[in-house]
Amino acid sequence: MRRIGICVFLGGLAVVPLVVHNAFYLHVMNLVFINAIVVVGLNLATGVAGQIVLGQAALMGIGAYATGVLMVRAALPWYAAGLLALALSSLVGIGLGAVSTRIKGHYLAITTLGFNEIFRLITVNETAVTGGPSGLTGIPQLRLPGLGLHPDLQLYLPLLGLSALMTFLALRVFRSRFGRNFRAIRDNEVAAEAMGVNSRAAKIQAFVLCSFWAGLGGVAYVLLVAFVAPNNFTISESIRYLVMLIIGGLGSIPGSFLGALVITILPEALRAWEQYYLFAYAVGIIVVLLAFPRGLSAIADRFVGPSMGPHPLPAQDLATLPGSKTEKTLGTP
Amino acid sequence: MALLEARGLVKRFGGVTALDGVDLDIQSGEILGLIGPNGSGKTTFINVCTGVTAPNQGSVWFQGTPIHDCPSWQISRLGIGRIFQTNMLWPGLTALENVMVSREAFSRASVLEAVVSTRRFRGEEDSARRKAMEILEEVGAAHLAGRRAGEMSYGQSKLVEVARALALEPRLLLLDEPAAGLRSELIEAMGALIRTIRGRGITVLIVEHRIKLVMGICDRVAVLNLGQKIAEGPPAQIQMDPAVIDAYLGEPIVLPGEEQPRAGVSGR
Repeated sequence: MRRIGICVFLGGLAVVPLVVHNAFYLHVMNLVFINAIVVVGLNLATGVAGQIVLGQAALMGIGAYATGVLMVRAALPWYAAGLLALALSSLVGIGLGAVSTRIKGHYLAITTLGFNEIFRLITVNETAVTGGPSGLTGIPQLRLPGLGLHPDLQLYLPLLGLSALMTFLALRVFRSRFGRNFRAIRDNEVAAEAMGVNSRAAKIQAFVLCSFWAGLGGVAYVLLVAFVAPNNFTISESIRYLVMLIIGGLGSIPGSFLGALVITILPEALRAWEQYYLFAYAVGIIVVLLAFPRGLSAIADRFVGPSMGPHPLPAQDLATLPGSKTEKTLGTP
Repeated sequence: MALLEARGLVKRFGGVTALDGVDLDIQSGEILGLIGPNGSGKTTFINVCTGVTAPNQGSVWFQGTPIHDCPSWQISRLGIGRIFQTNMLWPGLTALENVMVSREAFSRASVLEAVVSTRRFRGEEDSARRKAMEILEEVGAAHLAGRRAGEMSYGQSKLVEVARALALEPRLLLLDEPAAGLRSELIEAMGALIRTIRGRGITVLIVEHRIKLVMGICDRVAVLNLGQKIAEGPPAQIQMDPAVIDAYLGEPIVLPGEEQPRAGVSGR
């Protein structure tokens, strides 16, 4: 049943290019898929491991800029530049993770915010490498001629597939022992350490996954639009990813996908309202949060199952054994 | 050689001296009770032995290894499990997942192996799940496996906490008030469970205010008062110790119509 739901959802997205021929609409959908990858990664660190990251746009920017710079300045093919960019993103993740083991809570949020601003200042000022405030131009666009006439059509299915794959892989991490360790340090770090979880290692793992996913989103972004500028990766972009995460539901991996879908499309859909659109956008977000306090995960979990990992017992077994009754047998051999 | 040796432990919190030169040995295979009034340093002792707080002075040796400088997660892997005084389960995880986290020390697969789901990774996950289920069954909490810890009653979460500590396969189990807040029949059941645990070769230290339970199951009892050890010995001897009666137990009281004086303060 759940499989059918997921197949219908992804199948529906896959046939969009057959129905919609408007290149701009397809471009927005491509941005949805890229944002979904970035938000799913953010969820692993912030929603699942409880480490507040306000610099996700910078992590994405590192992937995007590294790819662009390597393609333009070193003339590397897109796949080589992309792989190197992912390696660089992961290294930055290790560094941020090491920082997060010493800084907690709001202080970590401020630190990642500072990280985002440092990244912006570097991209603005290191003109020789990054192209400066006006951005890096001359990046060769990725072309897959067999898949359609224009770039947004060509990359639509690959990006849909990539975002579905990355969501699936993140769900797998969530349900693995690493996901359990992340949630354990989020819920109670002292208890996690007492049960043998090395919280330093777990935080670094969470940050590496977070920046790998963000870096991949950045690589996909630069291959799609063939242009990067400092304005694409500002703090307000990081906050937009956080909004997607919260609308999707903190800690719910499939929810993040829906959050990216809604928050990417909503402003474009409301654009026609001109000066009222920001107002409508804000009201829309508030209504979603009032109707679904846990975000869109309330819907997403129906398709993919509760974001808690596999249940070992069938539901009726749990229902027929009320805790208070069986509890009396505690300890009897 | 004792399983755990604490020597001259001092722990100060600002102006409060929680531990004031405590020496305590835990012998292999025993159930040792640690009692004393609130604020006497019992929980601090457990926290120092598990690396949650570092002592200002003194040392703790476990099986001949100094552990007073080790981080908490390493100590748990050396073989010391614990339960906390307050409910410290992870509310967002199911009971089964809570117990599975403790199998961390028995897994080797990397994050990358988890992402691509290698055979080794799946094998480790399966054996962690099987072992966790087994332990939940042993403590009588198998029916809770799929329930989120945040949705459990107090008694149920105590049971799962014990299961979570047992999943570490510890040599030594430190229980901080395992019976606090439990109904009387559940206290007896908890006592039976602790005996079963010792029967499996696990040494137990139990901090508890329910004197009847402590005197019933412990081989030896140590008493802390104001951060100092004031007595140590078999339960019968401790109950008669004037210093312990003065500091903690109170005078035996004789109610009208009763011939025998009660041991300790009733209801404690």
